Amino acid sequence: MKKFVMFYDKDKEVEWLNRMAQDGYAMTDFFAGLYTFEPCEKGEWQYQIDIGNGFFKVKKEYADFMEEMGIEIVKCWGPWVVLRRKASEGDFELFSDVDSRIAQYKKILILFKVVTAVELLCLIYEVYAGFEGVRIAWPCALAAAAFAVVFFNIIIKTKNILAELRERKGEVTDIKRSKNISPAITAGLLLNSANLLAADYIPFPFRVVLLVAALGLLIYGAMETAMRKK
Amino acid sequence: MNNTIAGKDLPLTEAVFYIMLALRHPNHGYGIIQEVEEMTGGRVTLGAGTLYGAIQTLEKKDWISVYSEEAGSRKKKEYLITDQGREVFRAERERISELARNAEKMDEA
Repeated sequence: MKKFVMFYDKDKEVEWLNRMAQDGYAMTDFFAGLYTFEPCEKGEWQYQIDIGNGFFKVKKEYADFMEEMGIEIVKCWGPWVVLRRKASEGDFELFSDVDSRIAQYKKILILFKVVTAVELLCLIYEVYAGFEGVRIAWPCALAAAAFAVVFFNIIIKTKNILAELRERKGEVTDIKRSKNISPAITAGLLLNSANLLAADYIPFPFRVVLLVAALGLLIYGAMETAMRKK
Repeated sequence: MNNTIAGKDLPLTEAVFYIMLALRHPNHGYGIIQEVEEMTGGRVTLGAGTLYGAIQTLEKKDWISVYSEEAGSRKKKEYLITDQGREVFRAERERISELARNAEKMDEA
């Protein structure tokens, strides 16, 4: 069985993989958002995701270490490593203390900061190209902005998790939580982008309807973001 | 790396403390987890990621070193605490003894 899902949040991805394994589907492969599952006994495997021990491959040292722990490396993708262990070995957690969890989320934070910076550079370039008259550049700019919002939210979420972990360690006492941006903004930007891309294929009145819907999403998203409580 | 123990080296985290203790004799990854679990009556179960990260850091600091590799057919890598590691552990032990001594004061008044 194959499923196409885009995850930007490692914790949600782990939750999903474990739910699938509970239902009898063990993830065995991954390629650019396409997950391959094979039938397994319900709850046979537990999954975890590690980061920053290589790029599309791991060091032999890491692979040997995990093998010794009875942990199977399912797939390396970018800096991410999907791991699994038989549930019969007990609860599978990669990190057992606050310090190592902080180290892990710090790595995630750096990663998404780099990705967001690259995304913003793309956005600037597309806007420039758009003004130069490249037609395809505007929908690309909108899509880039949508992704930038998604990544920005991941950064906020990771920062909040880090603040909570530091508070638990007693390093800081009053944690400042930051607000994230409403997903409606992302949806609005993407809808706008799609509308522009497909402009030649959509009859005029529908285009207006889509444009109004996209603007509505953006306005709703902006208001929701502004009203969100910290 | 020099041999003086910097203030920032202490206190050790509980995980690092027990990993170094389990490496007073040659030990491999899974052996460390088992021994720490035994010593703490199951209270501390080291996660694989936590242990891997700690081993990397401790090796970099020269507090532990690889004792044997690929002995026999199994590729289990064994580690052992270094002299510098023992030095750090001794300083941490003194710090903890002081804590324990001072804790007695709670019963005084």
